[in-house]
Parts: sequence; structure tokens; C-alpha cells
Amino acid sequence: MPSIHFTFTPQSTDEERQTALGALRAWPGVMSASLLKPGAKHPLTARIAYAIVDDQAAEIDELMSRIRALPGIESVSVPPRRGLPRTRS
Amino acid sequence: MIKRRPSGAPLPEYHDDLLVVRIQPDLASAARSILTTIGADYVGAMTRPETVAATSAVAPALASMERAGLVRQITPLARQDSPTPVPPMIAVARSFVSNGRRSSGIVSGASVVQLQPTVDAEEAGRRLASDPHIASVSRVPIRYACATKKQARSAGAHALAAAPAPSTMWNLRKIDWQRARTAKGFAEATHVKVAVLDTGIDVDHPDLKQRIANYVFEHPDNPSLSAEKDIVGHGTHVAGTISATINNQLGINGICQCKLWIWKIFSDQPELFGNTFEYYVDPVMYQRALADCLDENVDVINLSIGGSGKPDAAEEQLFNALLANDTIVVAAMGNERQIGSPISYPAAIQDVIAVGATQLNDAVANFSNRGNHIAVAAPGVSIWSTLPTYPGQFGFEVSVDANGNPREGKPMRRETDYDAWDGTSMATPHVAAAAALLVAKEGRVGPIRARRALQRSADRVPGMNGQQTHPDYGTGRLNLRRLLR
Repeated sequence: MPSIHFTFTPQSTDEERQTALGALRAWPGVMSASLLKPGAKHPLTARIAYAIVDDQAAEIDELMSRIRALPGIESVSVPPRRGLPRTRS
Repeated sequence: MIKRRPSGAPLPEYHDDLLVVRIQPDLASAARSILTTIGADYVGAMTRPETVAATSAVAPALASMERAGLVRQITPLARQDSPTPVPPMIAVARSFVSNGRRSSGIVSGASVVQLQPTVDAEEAGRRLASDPHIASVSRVPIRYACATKKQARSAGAHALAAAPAPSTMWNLRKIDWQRARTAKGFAEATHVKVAVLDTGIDVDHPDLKQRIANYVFEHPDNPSLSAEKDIVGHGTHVAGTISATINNQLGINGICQCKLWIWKIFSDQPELFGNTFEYYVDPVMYQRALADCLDENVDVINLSIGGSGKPDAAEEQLFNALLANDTIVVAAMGNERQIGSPISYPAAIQDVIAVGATQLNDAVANFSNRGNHIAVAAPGVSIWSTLPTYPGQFGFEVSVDANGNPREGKPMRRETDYDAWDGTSMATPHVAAAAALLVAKEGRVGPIRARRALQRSADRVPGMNGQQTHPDYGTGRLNLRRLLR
């Protein structure tokens, strides 16, 4: 499923992160939104989050803009596709 | 890393019979009280008038559709204690509860509603969306996945595990594996954590099961996207090269005896790619696995995956953090030499150890990408290793349904138990295992020192024409004995 990944700033509070995720979940086109690893030990992994969205490309662009505008957001991106190296045989 | 080809007929975008329905969060307590009052006798309780009234109050439109026989099944997205089927409206109530606890915000109140085949999903969706008790209704998009490799010689047949003859393990001889293991000062990698982020693993494979310390295969949001089985077999093959049990009179020998930490990062749902349906990395499972590797402090990560898209911010941050934490990351150069060796990530991320493939005569394999970021090469042609003991496939050929839409056709079967595969995917675990043995001998040396040691100890090969570094080979082909000397 298409997903938008975003990172909160190190300064953002847990409350700000939860508020932003809560707001995101209510947006049209967003199927779910969560921290990448709830209960993460490492400070970085505790502030990476994602939203699974339906696959309307136009909406993804708009959603990315809206996420960027939320307080406490450091970066927003759509992950590139990864797969198995294609073999010749 | 994957060559783009024009696709055929347009894909169906949504499942015809599925909707994701999310109940308003303020009805959570009402839903939980239904479960409390009903108890375990769901079927009996559903005939009681008070139960009918209570469940109808949670989502009247859904309840009325269910009573009209339009709903086939409702499955809460929250993970449940037991898979025992329950009446649809009880399932809705249970959507607020996961494993007996309040479910997480992501899936709380959300269920997948399967409609009867005759029901128009769009019309049903509109009807549900008009119910004020329902927060959102969405169609379920179809997602598909990818293939590599030779098809099974006897498609679908499960042959008894056939151990390759020792003479076929040319790769181990080439890296001087035997002498490395008997050299003075050799330390086994028993306590080294090597992560394999791939298509999964066969946890019951007799050559691997003793080596597996941890296996994560579920999608954090949607368990139905990924089950325990390694369908493609790629991850099981990679894991065998690293750490198949040595000298157990069975199958192959792995290069070391490290602890395998396995993360499945591929969705089980194939996607259309040109004229095949193939499996792809799920970005949430992938980045979650990288985050886990950071938290679990793994020593070495094997990434026999790739893609030409530059890392997004989150992937880049995760790699930076892993490398700063002295985790050694080893990745495949890619197999697209014949289309000009497009740069592939994560191999091209700075300080990731990028690995190319060589053949028996030490010449570069004719598929192995060239590029200045290559660190070393390793054997990557006709590499015998483990495969799942159960049947599986690389993907599916495309067939066309009555409406002219592409759908999954004949599966492209793989072998079971053991097989010889080609690829930079197969070369990469040689280097990951070598790095694990280096860590066992010298401690957590980190990615820079590991890269330098691997490069200094590599055998210069004729194809390098006397150069110190070469875009096909890096500084040469892996030599394990010299690395650990």
C-alpha cells in the first residue's frame, strides 16, 4: 500500500506527535497513521512515523503538503520502491 | 534496480467485495460494554433482543446491511485473541479491542467488511458513509508483488532434500573458507547478530532452524499482508549462505554460525510488473525492520535488495543512525549490467559495503552492476543454498480475465530444499558472513574499518588489469582467510 513517511523534530513532544497523528487519521485518504516503532528505544526511531494512504497520486501530494504544515514535522517523503535484484536466468 | 517495462491492460484498482469501515471513536466504550454483557456465548447472545439493539446502536447502517444478508464477513483490523469466527456485529464491537486490550489508535474501530458477491461495493460504501456512527469508509486497493530466478525443474513437486555434492560448493573454496576456519585465532560468530532483511525464512528448514534467533514477519498494521512463509525463497537462500549449519551431514555449509535475526520485508501480495506479477518490499515493513536493527543493536545487516530511487528522508536517517552505531551494512550492487548498471540503493549509500558478483573463473558475472561505489566482489553464480521445504513461487505469469483485466496466472515455481541461484543477492551474504566473522574476531569494528579490512584482504583478479580498484570488482574478490589472518 502507498505510504507517506515523515519525521518529527527531536524537540517535538510526545503529546504533539500524538496530536498530529490523531489529526492525520481523520483526513480523507488516510487509512492509518502511526509511529514507525511505538516504544522505540532509539531517539530517532521514536520520531519516525508513517501514514498508509489510498493510491490516488494527487491526494498523496496534497497529503504531503498538509503533513508538512503540521507542527513539529521535520521531513516528509514517499519511500522509493525496493525489490529483489532482477536476475537474468 | 528493476527495469521498467510498459504494462499491459490497466490493473483493477480495488477489491470488488471489500471495504474498510471505521466506527466513530466515541462509540468505543459502547462497543466494549456490548462485549462485556454478551460474554463468550456470541451466537446465543445475538438472539437476545437487547444484544440486537445494542449492536445496532454502534453502527445502524452496518447492522441493517448485515441483517439484510448483504455482509459476508467482518474482520477487525486489531489483532484478536483467537481467530474464532463471531457474528459480524460482534466483530465490529471487537474492532475496538486487540488481544484483550484497548487496540492502538491506528486500527481501533476499524474493520474489513467483506460484502456478498452480488453487492455493489460503491453503493454499499455510500450507504455506510451516510451513517453518522461511521467515521470513514474506504475501498481496499489491490496490491501485487516480484520474481527472480530459475523455475523449478519439476513445477510443484516436492523432492526430498538433495544435498549438493561438496565439489559444487565452489564459492567456499574460492574464498578459502576451509583454511580460514582452521587458522590460528579463528573465532566462530556464535554471538554475532546478523540481520537478514528479505523475503522471510523457512523456520523449519533442517539446515537453518538452529541458527534462527529471531523472526519478524508481520506488517505492523495489517497482519494479512504478510504471513510467516517465505514464498519466494530468496531470504531462505541468503540465510543459508550466511549460516546454514556446518558439517551436520545435511545439505550445505554456511560460512559462519552466527545468530540469524530475520525480518521479512516483502508483502505477500504480488504487483504487476510488465508481463509478470512480482513481489516487492513493503516500505513500512522495511523501515520498521531498520528501526528494529537499530534498537536491537545488530552487528551486521544483509540487504540483498535494491531500487534506483534515492533514499527518502526516513531511510537515509535510519542508515545514518545504523552506521553511526557501528552496524556493518552489506548490500547488493544489482543485476542490471545489461541495461547499463543503473545505480542501486541501498548499495550506493555512503559507507554501505556494496558487493558485486563473480563467477568460477573470477571474472565479473555478466549481470553484475558496475560502479565506483562497489567495495568488493564475491561468488555469485551457481551458488547452492537452502530453499524453503514447502513449494512457492517467484511470482505469476499474467493472464487476462473476462473483462480484459490482467490477473495472476500460472505461478513461476521455485525449487524446494536446495538449489543453485545466481545474483549479486547471492554474492552479498558471503561478505555479510565474512564481516560477522571479523566482528567475532576483533569486536564491533564498525563499517569503515570493516570495509577497509575487506578491501585490503580481497584477491586482485585478472579482470582488474592490475588496477587497485575497479568498477566491476572494487578491490577484488573476497578472501576470507586473508581477512581473518
